[in-house]
Parts: sequence; C-alpha cells; structure tokens
Amino acid sequence: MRLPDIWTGLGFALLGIFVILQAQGFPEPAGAASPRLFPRIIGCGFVLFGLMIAGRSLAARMQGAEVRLLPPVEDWMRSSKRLTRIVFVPLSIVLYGLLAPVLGSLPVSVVLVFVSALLWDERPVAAAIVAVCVCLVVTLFFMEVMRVPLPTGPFPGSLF
Amino acid sequence: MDVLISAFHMVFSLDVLGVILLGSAFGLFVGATPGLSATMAVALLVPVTFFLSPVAAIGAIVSCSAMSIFAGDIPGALLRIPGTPASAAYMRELDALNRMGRLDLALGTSMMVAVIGGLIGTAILVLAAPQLAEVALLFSTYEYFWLALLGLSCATLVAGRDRLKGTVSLLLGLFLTMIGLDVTTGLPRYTFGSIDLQAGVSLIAVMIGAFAVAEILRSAQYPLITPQKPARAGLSILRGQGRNIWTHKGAVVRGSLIGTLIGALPGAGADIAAWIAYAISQKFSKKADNYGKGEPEAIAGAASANNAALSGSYVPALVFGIPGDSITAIVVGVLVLKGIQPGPMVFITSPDLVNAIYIVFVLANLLIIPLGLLAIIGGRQLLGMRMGKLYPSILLLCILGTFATNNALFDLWTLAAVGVLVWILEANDYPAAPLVLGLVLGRVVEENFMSSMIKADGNLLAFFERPIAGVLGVITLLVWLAPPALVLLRRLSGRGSANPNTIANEGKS
Repeated sequence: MRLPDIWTGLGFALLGIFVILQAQGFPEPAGAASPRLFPRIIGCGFVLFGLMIAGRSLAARMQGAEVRLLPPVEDWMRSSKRLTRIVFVPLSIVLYGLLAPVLGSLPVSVVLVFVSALLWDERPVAAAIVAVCVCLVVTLFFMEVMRVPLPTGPFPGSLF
Repeated sequence: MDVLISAFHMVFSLDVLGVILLGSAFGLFVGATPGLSATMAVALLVPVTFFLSPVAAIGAIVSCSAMSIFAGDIPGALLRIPGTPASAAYMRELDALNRMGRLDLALGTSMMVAVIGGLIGTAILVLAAPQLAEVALLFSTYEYFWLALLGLSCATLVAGRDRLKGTVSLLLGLFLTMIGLDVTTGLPRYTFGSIDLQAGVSLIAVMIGAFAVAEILRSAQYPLITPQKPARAGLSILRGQGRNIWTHKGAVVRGSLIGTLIGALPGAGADIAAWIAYAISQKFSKKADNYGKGEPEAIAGAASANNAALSGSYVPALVFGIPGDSITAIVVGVLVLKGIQPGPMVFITSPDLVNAIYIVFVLANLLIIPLGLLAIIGGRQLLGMRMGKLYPSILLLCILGTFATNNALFDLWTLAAVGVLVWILEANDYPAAPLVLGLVLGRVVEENFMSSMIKADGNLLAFFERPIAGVLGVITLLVWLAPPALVLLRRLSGRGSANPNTIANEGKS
C-alpha cells in the first residue's frame, strides 16, 4: 500500500508530538533518571526525521518532480479476490482470537485455513483436505508435543 | 576439558539432536520455497524454542538458518528464483549451469562450499569470540551504550535504500520498547491503563508479525503463479566434487573469510556478504569473463560467503549481546527470554553453553550434506507446491505459535497489527529489520543510557571520558554525521564550481 511520503512523514512527526506530550505526564523523580528523558529523545527523533521525510518530498514536488499527494490505486486494489485475500490475513488472526476460546482451537483453525486456502485459489476438496490435515498435525504438535493448552471450547480432549 | 565434555553432553542428547534435525528439515523447506526467507523460518521457530532448553533452542535456530540459506540455492538453480535473498548474488551462475545440463555441478558446488564456508566461519567464531569477550569484560555501561547505539546505527545505514526511513523504522522499534514498565523507575509508560501493555509489547508477536505475517500479506497482493515442475537432480551432484572444490580452493577460502568478516559487522547479513564476495571473487579471478555464464568458481566464492556470514554474525551477538542482523536479533531475543543475557559474562558463567553453541554450528553445517542431498532430490516435489496449501498453513503456524507462548489473546492483536503495519511500512521503503533490532536492543540502550546518566549525574561529557567509550562514541557520531556532512560538502563544492561557469555564461550573453 503506497502512501505519499508527505503523509507518512507528517504521520511520524505527529506520533513524535504524541510521544513527547504523553511523556510530560510521567512522574519525575529527583536526579538524572527521569522516565521522561528517553521518550522525549525518541519523540524528538520522530518529529525531526518525520518532518525531514515530508520536507524532502515537498521540496522535490516544488522542483517539478512527480510527487503524488494522494495514494495511487494499485493493481491489487482493483482485484476483489486479491483484496479479500489481503483483508482475510489480519481478519483470520482476529477471528481466531475471538472465536477459539468459545468454539475451540481446532474447529476454528480448520474453518479459517479452509477459507484461506479457497482465497489462495485452491479447489474446495483440496482446500478441505489441507485444512483438516494441517490443522490436526499443528494442533496435535502444540498440544501433545509442546504441551501448550490451546483453547478447547465446549469440546473435551486435546483434539479440540 | 570438563567444559567441553559437558557441552558435548548438552548437544548429544536425544531431544537436542531431534530438535536440530527438525529445525534443519524446517529450514530446508522454508529456504527452498521461493518467497519465504531464512528470517521468516527462524521467526516461525521462535514459539517452539520458547518451550525448549537454551541449547536446544539455539540448536534449532542455528540449524534452521544454516539450512535455509543453503536451500535458497535449490530453487535458484531449478527455477531461476532465489529461495532466499542470500542466493540472489550467484543465481545467474546456477541457472546458466542448469541450462548447460550441469545441474549436478551447480548444486554440488553450492552444497559443498556452503559446508566449508560455514565451518571456516565457525572456526573464526571459536577463535575470535573468547578473545573479544576478554576485552568486553572491561566495558562499563558507557561502552555498552555506545556499542548498542553503534550497532543500531550501522544496521539502519545498510537496511533499505533510504537512511531517513531506516532511522524512523528504528525509532519505531525503540518506541515499542518504551511501552510497559520503565526499566529504571518501574513506572508505567504508554500503557493507557491496560494491564496487557504493562508487560510490554511481546517480542515474539512482533518478530512473527514483521517477518512472517507481513511476508504473507506481500505475497497476497500479487497474482498467483502456478509453479512449473523443475528438472531432476540426484546423487550425481557429489560426483567429482573433491576435485572441483580443490580447483577453486582459493575462491572458497577468500569467500569464507569475507563472509565471516561481513557477517560480524552490524547490519550486514548473508545477502550482502554473498554480493560482496561475488564481486571480489570476480575481481581476483583469471576467468572473470566467464562470470555470469555459469562459472563454478563464482558459486564457490559467493555461496561459501553467505553461510560463513551466518557464523560471523554470532560474534557480536555472543560477545557483546549486540545482534548484527535480523536472525541474530531473534537469537538474542530468545536467549533473553530464557533468562540468559548474551555478553562477555556468558563466557564466564556458562562456558559449557558457549561451547555447545560452537558444537551446534559444526553439526548444523555438516548436516547440510545428507539433508541437503535429500532436499535436492525431493526439491522437485516441493517446488511444485501450490500457494493455496503453503500460505494458509504458514498463517496457522503464526497464529498458534504467537498464542502458544503466553496464552494471551493480546499477543494476537499485536501480531495482526504489526503484520499490517510492517507490510505498509515496507511498501513505502521503511525497512523492517531496524524496527526489530530496535525492539531487541531498545532496553539495552535505555538501561545503559540511564545508568550512565545516573553515574555521571547528567553530565554528557562523561560518555566520552573512558578511552574505549570515547572511541566508540566518536565512531557512532561519525556514522550519523559523516554522510550528511559529505553531501553538504559536495553540494557546496558543486555550487562553488558552478559559479564560475554561470559567471562565464553570463559574460558571454
């Protein structure tokens, strides 16, 4: 996702201001060991380098270089399939976090991997086989070999 | 001697050997799969290492990274797609030899020199690390502060094309380390009242998010390519390799030494080592004209360098606790999570662990021959694997791996957020490596900075008063100030030389 440097630079400069302002609220004990000191240095760095990035881009634009002020429309944004594939990556992480404690790790994993495989152009039967096999192996590895208590939901036993 | 025997016992136990074998197999799989990097392989291993002993954890990481760097050559030769960036430097040679029908020579040379390069790098690690550790014992918080800052500065300089953006990425990593309880006073910072944030941002979630989830997102944005079935290679790759390596012994030794040296420098990893070793090998070669047309000497020079760089990068990581690249950043992170702070004291408090790491390096490099051979034979099937099977499985490993380390849902939110953030940052030329290095070293920098400030009572000149600290401080400042100063000087001299022309032109008109 390409964003104009002016945006990202100003965004980091704003983050720097936020970091500095938040640091003002930290309690300051006597002596040189202030919890405000390091955040202020980092905050100032964000402001300085963020403004340099934005300024550099702005200067290039003023000298006639082709510098966009709006994000360009990229190929993947025009393809609904690729867009869905991208959105589904963070979405599946969030869905696992929300649903696994309620429904159990294995069933949620199988559904997420199945849908994900379909989005990556896998045929439905192959996607189902991959989902079941991979989820079984990975879940058993974590639960039985690594002894990690993955959420089982309403189902008893390590397979859920 | 007792220490060495104890180290052998630590490595040659069933569980550690089993972990090394599994780590190797995983490294071969990831390295041989185009689009997946050695760093991603190591990041995905981190949750598993969380449950292992320190030796087993390091064994898994070392064997996985060594194997994946070598395995990157397999798709390079078979498909003309480097499996990892470290193989890109000499991919043309591998491909040209394949086209000449000499696939066996291409893969055989790359496999054998990877082993030799790795072993030479290990020998230098064994010889240099204890000597440097003795010097490092003299270091105080001032030296450690400068050393960590110098490491971060160099890493920022070489990461990506844009220094400014690399610096912002580093600042982002340093900012993330400030979230949680303050290292000096124990007061909460940037937690916004959240209990989850008081423990800080999970290093594992950030590493997996930055190196694996962001990689999946990057692959998801491109059209899917159905991989072709490559040519077949087998045991014939070993035929005549003794003579072949002997013929190119100079290139192998030179490549290994260059690789180790570059690997030991902060910020420069296996890929940079391979490119530089390739260029130097060509410069000194009597067959320089053959480079790019399938010259085995070029493979010998460069493929030995990338595996040697891996060993070299452990020198600063082990001796000073300062990671040189993303892989050693993960290693330092894993050791810290296990309660071991890498640095000179490790050589005194845990000499058996240090020796065990040396043994693991030797073992991992030797295992490249049998396991690499299997990977080359099976690579044909692996390279035909569809993305629809691969990426959903990796995503599942990311999710369960992150969740498994702390059983915390909050780590999953971090994983998703960091994955998307790094994907966007990298698309805009903000590199990910300084962010992770900043996160790993942020606490070291702040802790040593604050301790030094307390000792010096806020006097910044005290940071330059000790001789080694002074030298390190000046070098660090030069790293930051010299490039912009040179640019400014060049501009001024350009303007100075431009003026007479302008005046002359004006005179003519």
